[in-house]
Amino acid sequence: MRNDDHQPTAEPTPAAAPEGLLSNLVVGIGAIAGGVVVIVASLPMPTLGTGRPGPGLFPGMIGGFSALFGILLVATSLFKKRQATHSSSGTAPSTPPSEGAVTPAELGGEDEDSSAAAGREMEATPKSRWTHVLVVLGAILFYVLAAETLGFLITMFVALLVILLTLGSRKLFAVTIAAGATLTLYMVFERLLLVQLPDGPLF
Amino acid sequence: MIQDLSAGLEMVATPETIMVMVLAGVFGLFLGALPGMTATLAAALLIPFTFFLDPVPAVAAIITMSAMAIFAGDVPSALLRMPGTPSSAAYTEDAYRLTRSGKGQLALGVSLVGSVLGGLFGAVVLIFLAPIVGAFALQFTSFEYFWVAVLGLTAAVIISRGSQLKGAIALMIGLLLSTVGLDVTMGYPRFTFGSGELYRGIDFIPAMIGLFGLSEVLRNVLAPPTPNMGAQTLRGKQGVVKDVFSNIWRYKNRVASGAAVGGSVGVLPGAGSDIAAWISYAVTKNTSKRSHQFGRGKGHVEPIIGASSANNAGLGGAYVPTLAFGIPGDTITAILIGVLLVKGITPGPDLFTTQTDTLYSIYIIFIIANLLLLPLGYLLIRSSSYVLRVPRPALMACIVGIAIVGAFAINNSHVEILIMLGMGILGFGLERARVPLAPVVLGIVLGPLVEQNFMRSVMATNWDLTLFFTRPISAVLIVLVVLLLFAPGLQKVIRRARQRKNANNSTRSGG
Repeated sequence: MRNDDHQPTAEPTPAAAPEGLLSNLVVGIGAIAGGVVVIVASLPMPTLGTGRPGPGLFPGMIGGFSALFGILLVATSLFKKRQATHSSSGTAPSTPPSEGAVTPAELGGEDEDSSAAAGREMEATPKSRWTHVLVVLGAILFYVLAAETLGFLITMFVALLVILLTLGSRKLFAVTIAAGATLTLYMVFERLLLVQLPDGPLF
Repeated sequence: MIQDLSAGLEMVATPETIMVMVLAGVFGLFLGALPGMTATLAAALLIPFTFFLDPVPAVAAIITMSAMAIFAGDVPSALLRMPGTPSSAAYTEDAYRLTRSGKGQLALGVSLVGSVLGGLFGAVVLIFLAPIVGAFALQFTSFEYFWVAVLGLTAAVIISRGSQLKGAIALMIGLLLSTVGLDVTMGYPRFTFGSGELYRGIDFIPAMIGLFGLSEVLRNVLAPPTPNMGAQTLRGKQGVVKDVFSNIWRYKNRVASGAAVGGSVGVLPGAGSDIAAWISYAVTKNTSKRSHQFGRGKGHVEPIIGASSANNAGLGGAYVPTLAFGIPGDTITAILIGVLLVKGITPGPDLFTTQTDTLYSIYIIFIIANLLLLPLGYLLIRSSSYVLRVPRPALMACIVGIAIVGAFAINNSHVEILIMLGMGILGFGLERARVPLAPVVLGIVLGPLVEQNFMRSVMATNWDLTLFFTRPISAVLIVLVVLLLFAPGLQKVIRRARQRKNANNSTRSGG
């Protein structure tokens, strides 16, 4: 799961307007786009007998409000940014002077070379910790895909072991914790709460 | 009433319930004491277990756990200068400074006793206020329920931290998620993408586990490892217990005002313990003669007493709208409502008419939980340095394990694990974009309520929409919604006007 291609981030160091302009814009545009998609999806839903709105009414309204709030969010953050640049420099350049850079992580996960990142402030999140996130997600996905064939005990043990090792536990400790946690979960859920956990070929 | 009381007591005083309360309490203390692990996370991890319990022990587990977790958040405040839960953030500085000057046991001691007293007061608020509000709610029809739900949703957005527009968007996400599955009017499948397994909708429990459990794990593994250099140890001292009680007695007014603030703030839908603690801290600071000592120097116990009783009192208050209307007062009560619905109990006026024994057992649980906090909290203070040494990777792995099995156990299906995974990524992303998560939960819980009551009303009256506005109770609720919507705006206008006036005055006097 290592990401070795050192692709430099395309965006220049982002300039942060007050209160994370970028995240506001992403959320706002996402809300607009999502809202429109939902409205479009709710239009073909059937209507109640006499042409009264039916199942599509609520999703449609939610989509509409979502788009509305998104537009308001984008508008207000752009407005605030303009105010901020006006008050700080008087001119309005396309990239305003930065006040505390946004961490590259906020750009959507890509990070610059970790050695460069280490040289900078601890603000930047090195790539290795993003792999932590991916490993946790991957371990859960692995469980979903493999549990039916390998069974609960093996799959859970492997998933937890991988997480523990990635997060920097020592080998012996990781094996102990992964085995202990797997067995405890098995005893509590399968034996005590009578949940049918997936059986494997061996156990 | 006596009859209900004894019936309620009978339901609580079973070995099963008591054992569940002790276990949930220990669980809450443990997770609450770890920085970054919130009471909501603990609640989310607890739901799969409550799923297998009877309603009363299930509720008991959640109430006990949250009372414990909110106190336990003070422990890392005092030892690491990091609040264990957001509710402790207001007075972290005071607690840490007291510890550094050798009074850590005193700081945690007053916080424990303050929490217990505040929690008991919150229970009293609940016991007296809930029936009154419940009686009011008895006159509700689907029109009023629609407006109450709208009121809850509005409050969730207004009170959400950070940008209110983002809170509103979060609410829309929650509402949208609640529409997945078969619709209420004609059973038409919405947003199921052809998957039959999504017909039953997005199950609440895996959604919560993902939103609050998995997303916290992801946030934690991304955060830089916390340097444990500032960790302080508690030094044992003779007579500290006596010291604690004499301090509580000296600042008994603070306990009372904190509890009152907490109890009333908690009642507001969407405002929880952390807001209660901040307000109480501000009140103490503004009214104390010793406020110059707060948060600096050697720290002071006075604000800790007020705020720690406020955040536990807020807990009881939050159950008033929860039980009376089925409108959650904070995220944990939103989770509780989800659990109750799964158990076949619809929170609301029914609880006050037909299920009074359940209602009384909830009251009794509140009192027992807070009394239980005293010995268990004492044990936590004694063993705090061990709890804080739990290795983080082990903790993360265990949470992931519980999250997977918990989500699976609800329906014995892997779809729930995928829902949990998706909601975890969603929660993680939203939190990084500083979008509050609480409105998402409220949207998921209240969405079906809003839609059902709206559709039921309009179909019964053949789309006579005026009835939404002309019924008297509806009108009162609408006024409340409008007030809520415009109160912050009005405040802002007033504040701005005042600032302008001040600025004018100062320029006039200056030049």
